[in-house]
Amino acid sequence: METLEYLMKKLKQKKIDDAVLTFSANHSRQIKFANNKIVKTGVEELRNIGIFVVKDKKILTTNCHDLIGESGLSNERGDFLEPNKKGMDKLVRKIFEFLKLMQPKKDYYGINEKKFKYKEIGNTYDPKAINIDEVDYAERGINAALKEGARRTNGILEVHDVKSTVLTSNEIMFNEKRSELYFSIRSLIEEDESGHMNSLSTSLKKFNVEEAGKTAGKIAKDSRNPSKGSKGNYDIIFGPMAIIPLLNIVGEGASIFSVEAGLSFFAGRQGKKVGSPDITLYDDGRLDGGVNSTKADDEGVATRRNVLIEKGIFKQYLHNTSTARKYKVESTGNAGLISPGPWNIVVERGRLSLPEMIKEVKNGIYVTNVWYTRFANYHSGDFSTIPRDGTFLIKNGKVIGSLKNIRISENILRLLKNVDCVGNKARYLRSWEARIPTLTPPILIRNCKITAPTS
Amino acid sequence: MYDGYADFALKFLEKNNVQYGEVRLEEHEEEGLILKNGTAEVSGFDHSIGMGVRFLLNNSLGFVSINRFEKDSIKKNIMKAIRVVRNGNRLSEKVRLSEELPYKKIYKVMQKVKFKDIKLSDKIELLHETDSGARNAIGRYLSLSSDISKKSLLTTEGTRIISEIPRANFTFFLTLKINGKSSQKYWQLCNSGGYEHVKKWNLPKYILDEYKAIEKNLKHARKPPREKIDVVVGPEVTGIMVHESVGHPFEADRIFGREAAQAGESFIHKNMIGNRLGSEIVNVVDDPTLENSAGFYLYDDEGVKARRRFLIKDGKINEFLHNRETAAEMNVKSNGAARAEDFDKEAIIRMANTFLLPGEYSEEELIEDIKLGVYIRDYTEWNIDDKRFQQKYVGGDAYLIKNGKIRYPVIKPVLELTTPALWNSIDAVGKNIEYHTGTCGKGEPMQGVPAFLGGPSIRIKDIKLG
Repeated sequence: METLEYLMKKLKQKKIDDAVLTFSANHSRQIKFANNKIVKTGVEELRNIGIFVVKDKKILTTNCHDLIGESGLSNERGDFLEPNKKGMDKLVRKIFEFLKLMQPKKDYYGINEKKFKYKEIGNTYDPKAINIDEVDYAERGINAALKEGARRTNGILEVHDVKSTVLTSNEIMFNEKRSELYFSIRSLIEEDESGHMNSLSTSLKKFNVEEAGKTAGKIAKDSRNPSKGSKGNYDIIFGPMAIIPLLNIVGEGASIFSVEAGLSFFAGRQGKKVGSPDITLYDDGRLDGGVNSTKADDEGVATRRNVLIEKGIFKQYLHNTSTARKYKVESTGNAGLISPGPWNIVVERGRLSLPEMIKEVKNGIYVTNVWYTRFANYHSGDFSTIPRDGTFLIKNGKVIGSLKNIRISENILRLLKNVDCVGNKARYLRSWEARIPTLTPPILIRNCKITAPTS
Repeated sequence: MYDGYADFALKFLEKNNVQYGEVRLEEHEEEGLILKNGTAEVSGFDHSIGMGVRFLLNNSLGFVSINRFEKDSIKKNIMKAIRVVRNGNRLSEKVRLSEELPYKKIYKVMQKVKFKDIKLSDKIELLHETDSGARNAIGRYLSLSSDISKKSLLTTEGTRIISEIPRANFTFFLTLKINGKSSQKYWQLCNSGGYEHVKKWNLPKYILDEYKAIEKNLKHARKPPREKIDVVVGPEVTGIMVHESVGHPFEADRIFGREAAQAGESFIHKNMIGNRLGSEIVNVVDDPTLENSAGFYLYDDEGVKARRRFLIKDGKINEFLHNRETAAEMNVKSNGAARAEDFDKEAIIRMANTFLLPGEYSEEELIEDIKLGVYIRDYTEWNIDDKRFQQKYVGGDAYLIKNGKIRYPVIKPVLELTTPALWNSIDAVGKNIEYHTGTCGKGEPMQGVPAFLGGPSIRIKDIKLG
């Protein structure tokens, strides 16, 4: 990558302290469908150079898109053959004019210097995945849902082929490439009768549109004739789609950046009990076949599996090199140069199947999906979220009907403490409101507060 | 220099015999800085440019987004998109677009004080001054940024709209903890125009007032009444109510189910024009042409001339928000609501600036008749179901009203009610209209666009707090 090397040389000539350059190229295709019909097809080719520069503890970030012109001279693979020197020299001048007017971040302590021996991660790129007939796959998913009883299906199928190169001022350079397949389908019958399921995979083998369609169709069929729910306290089984927005917030709350900004309910809780002994949760940068898996983080630290909650005890915050040095710990391999964050969230499996979990509930609700999760206070963890799609009333171990018009009004720490059991079958998902891919089984949480409209 | 590529893409579409072709070239010049707990966390600038190309072929819709400005690459991606459209044709919705006049216009929102004339160091100092008023908060996150958005829209029907809209943005998160209890507020300010708006916001005073309101509530608030009471909500709360429970369900693409997978549908159906949704004093509009607003534009991203949309008139459903596709579906003209987050997203139906029209009363007059009630100035948590029927707003800065007077702060009063119950319970509308800012999220893939959410204070009768 001559372009990155040229840009780095120019920055070093100006005596920067640290720099990280990231080139990314994304080729994507997309099928959006509504009411069983394709309403839009999309094709995308986007390229970018992300630039992170530090001088005298002043941190500057910028992106570079306008070098990618005809003068950028690239070949078919997306590599630059020859740097656009004039454009880059101008950009470097602008960076230094900008730096002059900035102030230092007093608690900045540098980027990674260590050269790791990276171990490749399994199943992150599958050439078969990026060459699928996207129309055919969307149709298969739609048909599976219709066969199960759905009348209308809506959703999206995306194919991504992403390549990136990172170069740091400490002469660390590495390449990543990733294929990604995403299918999201919502099945609807009559008003308030619906089901939703996604499939997310880096490989074609694990991409199962039929299973997602069938599951969405079945949830919709089972949710027929819902009645209005009543407020009160219920034991809730959160299906994987329903729990991932909350697990995403748990993962983000583990970032030291969130803690410092007042946006984490884990502030001051390292080593303390935050949940029941039945919950163990990881951040895993090396998850086999993980959509966000990467051998190294944004500054070249080798990624790893980090235990966040072990049997209810909050173990550690997520750090990059600078924040780790500030708190005198080791980087967890989660840079984010500004804000460390989780790669893939993984919940350790339990022992019961979903039907067995339902049998454990006397007065409860099985929630298959939630929507519009909003926090009143990220520091305390108070929030509410709205069950949507199949929402099932459980009495004495049996599902006896479906519900609508309810809201879960709760606190995230209370939920973690009330986890009673985790299922034995996990799904790997991402969704509209949960952007961090998450591998989780259903989770049974006791004594959750349900509210409903007062008028 | 990039306009030539837009013309090239349009000609290439024509050469490939599309029924309709559209090229949207978007350029953003952004600058921003973040202060976290009194420390300059990061500053930066960004210059991005790219092209969104949309076309109809055999009445199927195709879209290409690209920021690689090479003619071969543009051709290759358009051809790839044509192949995908042809492949999907057997399953495609047959899209029609309403007939609209093609315009050729150039317009620009002026920066009275140009962003580039204000030194970054002065902006950092302003944030430090702003931060100092809240320094006892345990979490302070302040962000100040500007974005100059330049667009060229070209269509095969002859439309050619060139626009430049600068925007100033400020966002904050404050977290206070007093005697073991914490409270938090997130809010944003945005205007189209230049740095003059940042000056008008008077950020140091604004944040100090917000800090004091949270502090007062944490120190002195008591539980709100449990019985049925009258509630007065201030413009911040009216704005989010109007946005969530009127603006969204009036988006015609939701009504036709196009966004059902994620953003959701609507409890309103296409044959409900003229139906009553609220009391006679409820009038709600959405107006992209409001000067200096967050959601300002004069032509939408399909080139349709923007106008004020009267969503609820005298309590009745009056019109929906349309793009050319839903307008054709309902045999009406588009009212210019198509908007995209950036070049790489398709334009979909969006609110611009949605607000309740003002009535006759001062806020004091709304309160003076109330024997027992609650006044809610702002909110923390809120949400609404995906058909926009049942919603929740949790008050932040809120007070007990007794015998027509504001008494003491109350702890987090919760309004949890349905949309018809809300708008039919309004018996008085204030004249103190304010416009607040939100980033409205919709679509799959998700798109966030700036919008004003506004209105005056309103009185809601006989409500039981949740």
